Amino acid sequence: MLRSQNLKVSKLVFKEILNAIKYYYGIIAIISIFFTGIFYYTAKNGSIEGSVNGFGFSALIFLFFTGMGFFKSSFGFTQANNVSRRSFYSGAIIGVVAASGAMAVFEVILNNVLRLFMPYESLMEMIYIRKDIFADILWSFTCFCLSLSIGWLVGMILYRLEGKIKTLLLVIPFLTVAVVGVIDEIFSLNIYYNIYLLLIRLLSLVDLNPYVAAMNLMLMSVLVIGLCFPIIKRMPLRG
Amino acid sequence: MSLIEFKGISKYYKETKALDNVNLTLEPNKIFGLLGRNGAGKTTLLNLLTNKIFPTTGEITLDGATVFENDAALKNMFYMMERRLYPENLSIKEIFKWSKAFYPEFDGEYAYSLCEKFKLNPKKRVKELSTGYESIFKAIIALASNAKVLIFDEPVLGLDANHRDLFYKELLANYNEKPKTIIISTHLIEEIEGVLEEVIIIKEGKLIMRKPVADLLTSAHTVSGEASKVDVYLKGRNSAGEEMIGKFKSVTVLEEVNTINKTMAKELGLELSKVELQKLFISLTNI
Repeated sequence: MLRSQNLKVSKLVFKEILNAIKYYYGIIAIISIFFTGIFYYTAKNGSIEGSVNGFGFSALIFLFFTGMGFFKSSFGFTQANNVSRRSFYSGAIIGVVAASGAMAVFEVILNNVLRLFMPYESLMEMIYIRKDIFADILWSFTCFCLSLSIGWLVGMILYRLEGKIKTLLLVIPFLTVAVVGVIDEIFSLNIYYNIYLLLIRLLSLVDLNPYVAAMNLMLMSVLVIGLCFPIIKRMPLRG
Repeated sequence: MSLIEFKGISKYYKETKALDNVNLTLEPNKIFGLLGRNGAGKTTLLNLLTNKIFPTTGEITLDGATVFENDAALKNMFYMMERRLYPENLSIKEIFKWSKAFYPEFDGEYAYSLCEKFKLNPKKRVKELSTGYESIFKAIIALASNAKVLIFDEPVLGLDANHRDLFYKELLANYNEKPKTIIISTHLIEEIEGVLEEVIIIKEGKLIMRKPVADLLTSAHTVSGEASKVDVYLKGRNSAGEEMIGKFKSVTVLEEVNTINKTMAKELGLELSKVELQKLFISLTNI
């Protein structure tokens, strides 16, 4: 019984994210056609040299917001169908992982299709300076998974909080950045520099190994998804 | 079976006490009316029963198993809520499909037949529905879910008189065909009186009465006539709620009509009549 509820929730979450992904790739397709046109035109004139990239980064931002958005509607719908929070949680994990996987595959296919029409580099190829389809899929998958999970976590926190505290929460990150910056400057703690070093290590930017980066990103996703549980455990239903 | 037990249920919202030590047992296959004034704690009680919120203290069980985070118990209940929880972009048809996934006993054919009766177009999206049709759509899902326990919170919100009448008829037909536990929370007491078997009255978070409707109605009567004579009649009697029109007074007496009452009323020239559930409810919750 419990398992079947999980699968239904995962299907619901997967479909919801997939619907958003369809719109995203619709927009990407229009932009790609536009750039293809420009490249054909400039190639004819032989005037411009360059390459197109960065769709991978926009995918990360898109997935963060999708993660923020899917929670409210799918949680409400499962509550209307009397599904427990535990089943929602485990179902949502499956949905998030499946959607990240699907999007990683779409992304790599898109990269390779775009390459047929214009000089194009995926985000992984730009960062790790290597062409490896398997690494590209794996790295994209873990990046997408982390991005969706963070969005999900933020979406849940915002859903759970009341109006005034919600506004405060939105201000806190900016305040923290400013305050930490001042403290860093006064006490010479090198906080931001250490964060930067940590990120370089996590993303394996010295060794340029996308597999190590993928493993770290996966661990971070697990950590973020783990943080979601105590938040959803006693989540009240809001209108 | 679908025996529901509330054991010492209390719920606080910060400093506000929404429910105070509610102990209640609901036997299977009966139609219960959950009555109370605004803010009495009716919706809180139903939200607790269906795991939408958690109690501060106490436990709720369905056939002995806790309802909190228990899919096995929750699957046996369908809760028609006032609030909109269905994705607005989905059509009614699509929601029926999802309902079938979450409630395997969901009867699609019956749902579509109800759509026809209520003249609800199943191709419409949730966001296109008026308040009345949204209530109808949710009530249809509830009736077709075939869950053992159906819970309705203000099921006729926004419905016109014809649709309300149709809803009560369909509810009774559904119950007669497949008996189940039905809990209805509503303010339209006069309309629902004929549908209910038992009444549960909540006041300021406390359970103040739980009785079969028939017993409740015979446990009180209305006395009316000249005010001074009514006052004489009321001496030593437990009464609640009175209406005055000029010198004329009408009072609900919380006592069965017996020979002594009848004789006394006759001597004083007063009229005794059956009490209406709504008037009794007003009297009880105004004390």
